[in-house]
Amino acid sequence: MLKLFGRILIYNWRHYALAVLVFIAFWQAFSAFSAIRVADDKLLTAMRQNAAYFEKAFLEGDVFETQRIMWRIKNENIKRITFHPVQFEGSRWIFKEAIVGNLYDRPRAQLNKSVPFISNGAELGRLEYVIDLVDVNAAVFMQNYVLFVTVVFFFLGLLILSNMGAIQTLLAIERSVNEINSITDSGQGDIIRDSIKKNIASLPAGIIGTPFAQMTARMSDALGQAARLESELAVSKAVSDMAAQVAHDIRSPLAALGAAAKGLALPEEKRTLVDGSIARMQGIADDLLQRYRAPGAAAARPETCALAGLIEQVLAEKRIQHKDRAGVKIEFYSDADGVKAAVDPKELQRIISNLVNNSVEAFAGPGTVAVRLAATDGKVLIEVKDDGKGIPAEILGRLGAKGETHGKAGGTGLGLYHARTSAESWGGSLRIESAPGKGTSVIMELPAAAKPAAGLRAVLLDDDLLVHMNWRMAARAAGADLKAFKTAEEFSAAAETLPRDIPVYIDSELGDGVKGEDIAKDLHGRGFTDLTMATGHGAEKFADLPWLKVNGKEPPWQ
Amino acid sequence: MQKHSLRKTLFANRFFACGLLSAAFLCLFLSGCSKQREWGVLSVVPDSVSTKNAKQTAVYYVLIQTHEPIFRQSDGQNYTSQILKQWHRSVDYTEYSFCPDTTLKFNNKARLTLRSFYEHVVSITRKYTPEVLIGENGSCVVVKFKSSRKGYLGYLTSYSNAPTIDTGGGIEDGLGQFSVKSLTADKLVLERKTPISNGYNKVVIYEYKGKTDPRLQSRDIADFNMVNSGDIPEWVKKEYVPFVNVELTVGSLVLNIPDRELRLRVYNCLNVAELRKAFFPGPTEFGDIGNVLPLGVPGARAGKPRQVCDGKRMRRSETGEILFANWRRDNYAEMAEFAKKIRKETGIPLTVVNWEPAKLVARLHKPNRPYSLVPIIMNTMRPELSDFLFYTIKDIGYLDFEPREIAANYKRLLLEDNPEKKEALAKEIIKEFEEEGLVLPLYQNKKVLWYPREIINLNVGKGFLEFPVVSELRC
Repeated sequence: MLKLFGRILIYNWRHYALAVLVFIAFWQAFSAFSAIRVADDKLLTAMRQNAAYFEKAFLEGDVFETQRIMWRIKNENIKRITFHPVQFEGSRWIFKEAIVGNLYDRPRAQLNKSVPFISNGAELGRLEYVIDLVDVNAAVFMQNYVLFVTVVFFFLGLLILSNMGAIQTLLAIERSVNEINSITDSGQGDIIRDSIKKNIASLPAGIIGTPFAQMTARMSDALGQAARLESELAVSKAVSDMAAQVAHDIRSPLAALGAAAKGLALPEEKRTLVDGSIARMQGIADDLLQRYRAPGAAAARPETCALAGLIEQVLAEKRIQHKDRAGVKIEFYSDADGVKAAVDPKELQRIISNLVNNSVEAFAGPGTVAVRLAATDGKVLIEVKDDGKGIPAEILGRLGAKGETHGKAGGTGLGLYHARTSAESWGGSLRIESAPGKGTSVIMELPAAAKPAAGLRAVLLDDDLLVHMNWRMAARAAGADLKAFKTAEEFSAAAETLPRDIPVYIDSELGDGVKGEDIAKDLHGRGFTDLTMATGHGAEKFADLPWLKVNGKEPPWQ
Repeated sequence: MQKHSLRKTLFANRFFACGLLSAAFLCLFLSGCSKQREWGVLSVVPDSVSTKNAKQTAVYYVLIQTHEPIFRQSDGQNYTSQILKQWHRSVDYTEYSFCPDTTLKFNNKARLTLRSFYEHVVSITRKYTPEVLIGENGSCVVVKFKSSRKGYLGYLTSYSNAPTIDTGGGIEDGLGQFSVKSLTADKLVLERKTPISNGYNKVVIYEYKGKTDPRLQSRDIADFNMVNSGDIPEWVKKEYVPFVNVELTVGSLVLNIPDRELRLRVYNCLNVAELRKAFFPGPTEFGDIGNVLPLGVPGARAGKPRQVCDGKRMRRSETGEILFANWRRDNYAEMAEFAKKIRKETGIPLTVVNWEPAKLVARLHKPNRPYSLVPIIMNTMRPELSDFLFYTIKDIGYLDFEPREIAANYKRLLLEDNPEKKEALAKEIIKEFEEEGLVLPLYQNKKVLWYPREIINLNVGKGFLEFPVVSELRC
């Protein structure tokens, strides 16, 4: 209760003091004014009552009787009375004036008034009287001080009663907030909603149902939802981390398997199957990395790739995937085999894969999907065209927007959206041309990459011997000069002799806790200009090293 | 922007502003007395301070500060007491009961007790009349008279009847606010028993040495009203607050002329105004009085005395010299001129005889007085009728003959207690004075009193402001 009173006073003392002072000042002024009015009236009344006696004393020249009567006329609020007698023949009055009262003057704080002293029609003289405002105020204050003290306490009571509800509410809110803060600090966010609901219930009845209480209830819902989302986010992050780790770890063995499979003498069909399976597994790993990449993280940096190879690879898989669809043909036409563009190869393959899937899945019966690669005026065109049923114009305009889908059962509408955003992130564009009954054509336009510098030399630092083997095979096939190192120490010993512009490929996890990015930083500091992380981790992990390129585990000569 | 700044400034300085307002408000109520809070007086330093000498002006001034009479009649009508807790009387003025406030002190050693008060009442009442019974009743003293004693309360207002105790060395302590601290030939110091912050805590009476007294220029002196009006310095008239006061001082001319006819002729034909002017040369304000009583004393009459001069010139052979005893030293020329004029106009053979005051005083009450006319200035502290009517009484008067009727009335007057009857007797005596031409009233003194401006409660008009009660002054 003391805390409540204290809070009321702290918030309102200025207004309280002002109210009390205004009241006291007003009442004091009013009382003083009334006292002066009463003094005037009493004086005039006493003058009338004593006029006859005064006249008798005046005519007899009896100064002292005159003064005694003047004392009777004077009242407590009149400071001084001065009688100026009229002069007449035979007057016995021996004074020019008669004074009774206090001679002390406060010239700036007194009222001087004058009235004629009339007795039965005859003016005996003039009565001048002085009212001292300081004395009147002091006397009035002494009469009123008990009232003022009462008013002080009355206003205080009024202040407390009128503010008690509001302060109680405020204190309840503060308690709620404090409780929420302590819950939040202790990490028990899940019980915030219950805590808020409990505190709302404890608010004064007048508050419940008001916009404030509604806001508080909504706030508790929002907090509960936020807590749930946070929990889901934590789970999602854990899954994401796990998926990324799996994807990272599986890519090296898949790369090795892919390399090994190339050396096997297999029938064409089986080769295709093996290659396709390996590619699929690689794609699954890529998908994991892609899907569970942290939201808002930077997308994988595009790299200059030979597009024809990428497209052929994915189409081969598509053919196998859809070989059971009777009459469905998947064809590839390339007018620019060596054309390259800066793309994310896996993302591009995924896009091609999705577009082909879209076309095939839209066929009711037989159909042909023709993928064409062309280059013109510094641009690269990748077209996926089918002769399916086409897309109505009203839907065509919306396709590519997130969530828009057509004709595909269970479609999420994300494939085209991602295709568009990816194309645009690579500096290109994606458009869809279609007409009902005439098929659909999805055309991705990308800027062609400049001819890359000759990259027949490279350095690899990776603790995985399978990767070493895969890269040596690729280097032999490409006629490139590869220097491969297993440990950082080996590499460091040889680094001084290496040209600073030689491409260096570094695995992220080199064993014994050594981080490839740290080696990269060191090399960067020593002047190496072409540094690439050959890792399954996404580029976002190295976002703070803008000079560092990120690539997968595949050799650059494939 | 400017409004915000002003508001901010006022708010920031709110405490300073409040402090200033409070100080200003308090200043209206608070002010200070002179630095030393000492009430300095230029006067005659008395030899002793005793209620027995209350009729002496210098002693009276001190007694007003040191003693408190049993009753006061400040407004001339109502009796109040500062030393009685309560009192009452019977309607017929035969019985009085006084209950003293026994918390009052004479000094640090003696306080007012019921017993001491009883003894004091017995002492003073038996002087008033022997026919009285006095006893104690509880915490009160009861006084019972055999007959109505209307004047008893008035009798108790006298400072000569104030409770007092003798502390030795001619000093008495009373129940007033001050007590005598030291008494020398040049200085009498009174100290307040309980000092206060807004009043005077010390009264110092300095022996006035005349016009050349350097203290006339001293700002330590608050009361110059005991010196001659002409000696009051100009700076006092500029800096102090003036107040015209009626004094119980009358000037009368006693006619020691046994021949009634001659006496009446002189009484009726002497020009009062010219005589005043000649006897008191210099600018002086005189108040006319119609009889020998000063205004304020019951029976007094304002105006001029009734004189009827038949205008006939007296022949020298009809009378001897009329000797005018002049006891002033500054009016020889004026009086000689006056005498000459009177001779010329009325034939009155007036001869002015200049006297040394001390020598004249020595002859005033002895038979075969060497004068026919002598001006007597009567000054008292209290409006006692008997003080203004004894001119013709044998042994205490100024005549070589005593009108019997006046003597008888005077005797009755002294014994009379009833104020109305006293006044009636006084009027009889005055009538005799007028009809017999025995005492010619000349003037009643008006005096301008000067008081320091710092006194905030200098109330005037309540009876006689002969001397201020310093303990009541506030500044």
